[in-house]
Amino acid sequence: MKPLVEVKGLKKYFNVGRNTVLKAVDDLSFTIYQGETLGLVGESGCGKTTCGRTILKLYEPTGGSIIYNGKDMNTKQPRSEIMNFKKSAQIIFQDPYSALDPRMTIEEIISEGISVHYRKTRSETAEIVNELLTKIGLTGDFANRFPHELSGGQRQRVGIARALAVNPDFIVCDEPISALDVSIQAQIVNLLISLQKERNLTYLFISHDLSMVKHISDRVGVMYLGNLVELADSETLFAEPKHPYTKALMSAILTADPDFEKVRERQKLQGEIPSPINPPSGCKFRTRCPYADGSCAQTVPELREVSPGHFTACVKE
Amino acid sequence: MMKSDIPKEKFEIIGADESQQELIGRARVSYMKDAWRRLKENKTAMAALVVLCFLILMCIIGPMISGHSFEEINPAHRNQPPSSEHWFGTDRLGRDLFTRVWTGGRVSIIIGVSAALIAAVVGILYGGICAYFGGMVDVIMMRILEIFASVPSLIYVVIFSIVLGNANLTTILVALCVAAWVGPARLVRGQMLQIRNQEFVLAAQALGVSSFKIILKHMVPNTLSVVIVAITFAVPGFIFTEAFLSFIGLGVQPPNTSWGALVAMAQSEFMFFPYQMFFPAIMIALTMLSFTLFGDGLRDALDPRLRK
Repeated sequence: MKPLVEVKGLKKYFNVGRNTVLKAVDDLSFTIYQGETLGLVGESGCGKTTCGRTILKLYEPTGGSIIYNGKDMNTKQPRSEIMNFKKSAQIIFQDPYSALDPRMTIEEIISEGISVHYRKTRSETAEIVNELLTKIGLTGDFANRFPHELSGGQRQRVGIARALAVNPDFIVCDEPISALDVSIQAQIVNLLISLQKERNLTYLFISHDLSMVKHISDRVGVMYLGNLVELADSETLFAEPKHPYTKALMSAILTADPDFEKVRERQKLQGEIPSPINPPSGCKFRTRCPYADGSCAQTVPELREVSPGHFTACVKE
Repeated sequence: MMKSDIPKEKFEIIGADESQQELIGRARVSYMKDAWRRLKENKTAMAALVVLCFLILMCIIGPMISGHSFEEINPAHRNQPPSSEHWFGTDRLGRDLFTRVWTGGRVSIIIGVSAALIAAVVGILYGGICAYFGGMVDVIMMRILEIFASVPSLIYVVIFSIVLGNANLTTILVALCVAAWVGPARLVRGQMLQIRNQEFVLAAQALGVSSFKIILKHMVPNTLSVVIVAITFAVPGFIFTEAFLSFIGLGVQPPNTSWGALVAMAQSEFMFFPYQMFFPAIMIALTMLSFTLFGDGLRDALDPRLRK
């Protein structure tokens, strides 16, 4: 498989006051292959969203490189190259309520990208918008409506149509389902899957809903405090998690079997996620890890391949 | 491990035939057209607009149809009550009040509207720069603004009126605008900061829309309705301040006049000739009320979320 996005040593720091730096994403590396879905999971505040936005250069990276289609987008690139990147890499947002401009009609929202990247007449644009609306399961009638007249699920569909309008190859799905109720979640995820098959899209699927991530992803990365702690293909990761943090996450997934639910052993994590302003030394997870000992405070664990295609960042493994 | 595989067939788009679709497809209307339609439906706002148009029209043609000049002194006709010759009566120098009310209205309305516009333009620029550049620029500019805001605005107005001397339209406008931009500037800055962090702005950036276009198509339209409403609400305030200035003798100087100056002049005769105060006072009240009601309607009309 050909790599589409290679993230190497990506860093994004925010200045949050005098001499304090919040390391939202710290030395993150992974590769996304053409046509696959890479899931990215982790608890709130671990840097998933920042990671997704930094890859698209919506935030200026503090360091590292983002190699898209063989070109490093974090170096000076000619304008045509940047516009190409903007055309081929898109994003779907978490909150369908703030992601659409309340003063624009659905048609104006969806056609915004078309007018930037393609030369189309007004009627051609209207035709494309109509087609897209039908594709995502709405009707042409919606074109003249305003976002506030739509439900959450419908808005999210419009958000997807806006991203699709420029014919992208790569879409960052930034928790596209977490603001929706469960039945709508399944619709949106299945829509994303069928669009992927049809248009050979590549997804970076950010979520904290583990079962959804398993459902949609080919490979899954687990993030903790701005770093990847484990990366493996979906089946392997869910069947045999290696990193203690991943194990704890997996044991938090509810099952549909009440009898099993009563007896099954849950691994509970103690305490809160430490502040990314002042993270623990060595392994960042050691403050909550049941297996941690003195050596964990000394060395920063590297992401190592423990079995083919299965990477984990734990010195114990 | 839970079984999360919901059969995909359950979520296929099965399509819908025409008869099941919602029938009411709205005709394509632009944002401004739609706002205007909603404004027309608001009876209070339209009544206020009609009153405003009438007042402005009378200010333009009023002095011409009375047959008297606003500075013509007629000692034989002093302090006359309203009559067929002098429709609003005359003042203590025998000047025709009908002519003077509409001449004064010109000054009052021009000052009110232009002061509000100047304050809004300066405020949008100042607040926009604060929000757009952020960081140190924002901090310094906001501190300067706070210094301006911490002194009661009437003090500026009075000091500037005295310093600039011989009060005319320009000096009064300058005096009024020195402190008036502070409110709109804060409003615009707050609004723009809020919009800048909305995800639809990020989405536009991800689509490669240029910064200029993002400001023009997303930031400004989402700020503008707030500003337009602020302007309409500010107009009566300026008319009132001008009236106050003229009332204490710092405003328009005789023989020129404004509604405030007319009220001040009538004050000394109020016990004997109350109609001299009644007409300019009712004009001030009508204008302020109309602008406020119209502003209210405009705010509702410009918000598509209130569309029925």
